Amino acid sequence: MIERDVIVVGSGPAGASCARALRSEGIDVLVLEKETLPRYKCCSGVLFGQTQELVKEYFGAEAPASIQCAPAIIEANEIREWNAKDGYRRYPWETDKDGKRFSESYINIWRNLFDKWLLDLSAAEYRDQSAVKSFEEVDDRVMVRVESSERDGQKSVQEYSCKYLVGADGGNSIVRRLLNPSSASSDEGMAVGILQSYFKLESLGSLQKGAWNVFFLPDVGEMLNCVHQKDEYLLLCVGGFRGRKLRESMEKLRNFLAEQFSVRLGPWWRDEACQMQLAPPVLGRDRVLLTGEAANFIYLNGEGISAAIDSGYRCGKAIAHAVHERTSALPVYAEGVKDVAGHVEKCLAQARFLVSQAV
Amino acid sequence: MALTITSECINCAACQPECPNDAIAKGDDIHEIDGDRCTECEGFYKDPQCVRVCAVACIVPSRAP
Repeated sequence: MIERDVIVVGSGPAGASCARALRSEGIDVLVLEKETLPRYKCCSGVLFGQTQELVKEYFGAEAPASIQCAPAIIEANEIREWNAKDGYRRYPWETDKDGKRFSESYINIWRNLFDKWLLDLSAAEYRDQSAVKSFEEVDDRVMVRVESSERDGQKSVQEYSCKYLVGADGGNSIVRRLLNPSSASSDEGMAVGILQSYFKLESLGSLQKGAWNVFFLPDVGEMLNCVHQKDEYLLLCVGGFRGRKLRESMEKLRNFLAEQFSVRLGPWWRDEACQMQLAPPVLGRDRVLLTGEAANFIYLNGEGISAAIDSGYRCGKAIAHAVHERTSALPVYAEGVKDVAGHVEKCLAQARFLVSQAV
Repeated sequence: MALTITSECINCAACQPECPNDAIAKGDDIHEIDGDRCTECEGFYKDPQCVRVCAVACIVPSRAP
């Protein structure tokens, strides 16, 4: 039996920020990650103004050149929507929060490197290749069964015990799923699939250079489709409501780029995919809390990094408070994260407006 | 009685935590369902959970061998 004050499941920005807050309050925390670190993540990999500010505020750091990719800076006014009627027009990706504006110079990064950098900054103990299989609350502790993969591929199961378990394990959160084992999966809200493909870039054709190009193409998918450069690759992203055949969508986007802009792509490198739940936040129960995308914290256009950092950090602070004061963490967390939840709602409304304007 | 994932799978992995039989894992290219473990959720839910959450509707009944 391995005992810790807090076990955080998931080593992305939500988990790293939660761990950072706990460590800063002297709480003993272990982060578990099911993949091998550093791991890729389905993401545009762009640090918006708010993210940069939160990294500064909570981690006292700025994204170093070693985790960036070219073009390192994407200006807000270089994010443009194109359509046949109007040509290019500015597309707003990030909105003000509580009347506060953020830097409009965004940083282009590799998510695998950014996430590992943030995790290292948290100074938390972590184990990768460790997947949560089940948990149960016994008295005032949570007992967690974890399956770990060894270097030789053998799997072993270990028992952990903690005062608080945090699901910071993203959109496909196993912690959230296990919290409601007897009920069928929730159909609340809107589920959106995303598929991204990286291709070696041969020629941008007449596509705006250095820009982040956004297209609303109902034939390709219901969500925005976008294209931007990351080092020698062009990243193509398509999205649609649940049920949309996204591999077909990707072919359609490729054809559209070739026909409309004479874009020439070289060999395919890799795909990334995910599913986003656009729904009101869920914060967990008793000694099992959810944060980041596992709690449905996601901002405009699927920007999840700042929502993850901000909610994760406040989750950690709430737990630290509860452990020190011997009180319950959930009400403290719910109160502390109110403005983040409010901004999620505002972004949902803004998203509906943007889609209705563009299509 | 089992389900199978077609090549339209994008590897979003949304199905994986839904499976009450822990029958879904990432294969070489796409996610795969272990036919020996899959019960189509019988005894757990009234319909298969992976089918419900699949982003691209690519989970179908297995053909008889």
